[in-house]
Amino acid sequence: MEVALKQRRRGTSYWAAAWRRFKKNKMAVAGLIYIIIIIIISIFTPWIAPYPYDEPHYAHTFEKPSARFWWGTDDLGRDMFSRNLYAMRNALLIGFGSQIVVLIIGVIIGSIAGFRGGRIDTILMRITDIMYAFPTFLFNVILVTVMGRGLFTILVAVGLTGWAGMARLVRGMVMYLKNAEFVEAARALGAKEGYIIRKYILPNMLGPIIVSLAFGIPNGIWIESGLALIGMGVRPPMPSWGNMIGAGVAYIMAFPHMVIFPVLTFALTLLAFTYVGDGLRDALNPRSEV
Amino acid sequence: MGLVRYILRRLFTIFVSIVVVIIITYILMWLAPGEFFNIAQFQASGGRVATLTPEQLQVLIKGFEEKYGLNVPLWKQILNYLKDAFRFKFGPSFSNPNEPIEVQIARRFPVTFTLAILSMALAVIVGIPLGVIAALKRNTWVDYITMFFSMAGSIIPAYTIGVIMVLIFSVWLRVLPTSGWETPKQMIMPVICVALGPMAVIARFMRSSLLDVLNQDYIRTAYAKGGTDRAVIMRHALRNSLIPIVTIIGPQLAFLFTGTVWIENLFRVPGLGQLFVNAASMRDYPLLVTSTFILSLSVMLMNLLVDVIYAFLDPRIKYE
Repeated sequence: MEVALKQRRRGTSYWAAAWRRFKKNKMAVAGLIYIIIIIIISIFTPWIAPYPYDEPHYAHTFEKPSARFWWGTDDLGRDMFSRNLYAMRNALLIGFGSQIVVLIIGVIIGSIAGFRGGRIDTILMRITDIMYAFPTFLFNVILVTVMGRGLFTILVAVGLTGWAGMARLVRGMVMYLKNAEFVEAARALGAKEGYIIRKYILPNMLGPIIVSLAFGIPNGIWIESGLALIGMGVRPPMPSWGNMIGAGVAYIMAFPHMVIFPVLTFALTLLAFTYVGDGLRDALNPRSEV
Repeated sequence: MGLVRYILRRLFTIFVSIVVVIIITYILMWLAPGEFFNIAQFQASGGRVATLTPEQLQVLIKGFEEKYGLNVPLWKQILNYLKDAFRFKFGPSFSNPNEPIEVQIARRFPVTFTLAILSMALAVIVGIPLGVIAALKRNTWVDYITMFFSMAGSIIPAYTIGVIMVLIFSVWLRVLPTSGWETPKQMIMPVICVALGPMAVIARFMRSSLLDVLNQDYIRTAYAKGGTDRAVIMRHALRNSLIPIVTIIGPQLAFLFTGTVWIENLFRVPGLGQLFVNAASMRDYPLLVTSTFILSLSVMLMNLLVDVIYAFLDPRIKYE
């Protein structure tokens, strides 16, 4: 906490110091660059992709990579490169979107429990415990069955099953911060509750929350692909890494190119996000000195 | 507080949690669009519904609802299910109306159990030495490489690694079969795939745990008494650093029962995972509820077991 409190130590803010620490981690920086690139690609996917994701070319099924189809074609002759781009876009949407849901639910429940304490805290934490015990994957399957298999509903389902950790984290920090000495000092000086929350409590919670979200994104991407693998992900012909890998496995002996590209991009993306998460954790953990 | 009272209290908490989990599952399924009947009928008789008169259909639906206990209010369905479930009686599933779910589970359980145990054994046998080596050679290339693979192993889903392994060993080298679960050769890839995740976690934990212990005062004392590297590490450091490993093996083992789902799917292993996947994709609600019941129960019991073992290993821990 120390660095966080002395935010303007020698003219460097907490965030500038964090960025300096982050830059030292080569893998994290490489991951960040990769993520920025795929985000930009995802924004412009409809213009970049050479073909629509659902356009079949029946004369060109199972084609190996060529100048016309960079990453080959699948069983219906659809361009694998275009499908991969759309799958990446969907994965990012679900990864980031689910974490927004996690953030909203987790912060609301965690801070109410932390601030109020007492009976409300007990009840909310019991609910959180049960969420923790619920087998996440099955819960997702059930939620998707109930809500449907759209991109948005899957994103919400992944968020709804993943907020328990965030709620616990926020509650713990709130309970510590609300009684921390510097907050008490501010209160003694006559600061209003709203000002204290805005000025002291929220800025101090930001670091751990960002780290938790950073690890949540690859997790969300992973859950979506896991759902798609067993036929519970986004509805075909909408591509996702899960259903592309699932389809590719069926033809793995004869046409390995159908599975290689989705598997590699999928694995690379998960690795990149986790390395960035690791870098952020080291950078935002104020106890690790520069 | 004594051990028995502690366990009883925990068991009560588990009981309450399971009840809540089942209630939530039931309500969600009740909210799900579509009729229970159509789904099951479609699977059972392949669309013969169309040839029936409306009266015959009504009779059929009535009989169906009676068979699955759907003709009573929701709260009563939940109560009935829970009463039977805690005695491990789950009734028939939609997709297999002639065989109770507990029989289906009993038939498939040994496969998943074998897969999970073999994988866990492999994970422990390889993971612990890896962690120890990484800790003893910390900040050398041995450490970096071990930790890189350990990181990759715990991030990249087992299924993806499985696909890569099939590409290498079946498609490219042609030394291992792509699927099946009869011969030891067929078991190699599934077991390795399932083991990689826990192995990575164990290696990482072992490394940090051993590093932690090596910084303790009593290790310095042991060295001061003239102990050799080997003696100090084997007798003092290793034993204490193993304690935290127990805490992760338990949850990992419980996790394996869900984690094997995709691997069983990929390698066509006829285990519990396949049953659960079918439950999900065919909207087999009785089977889906039962999957939830069994998985949450096993995760919670495993955690309890870990806590008890942990307290035995580390006398400083008191039951609260």
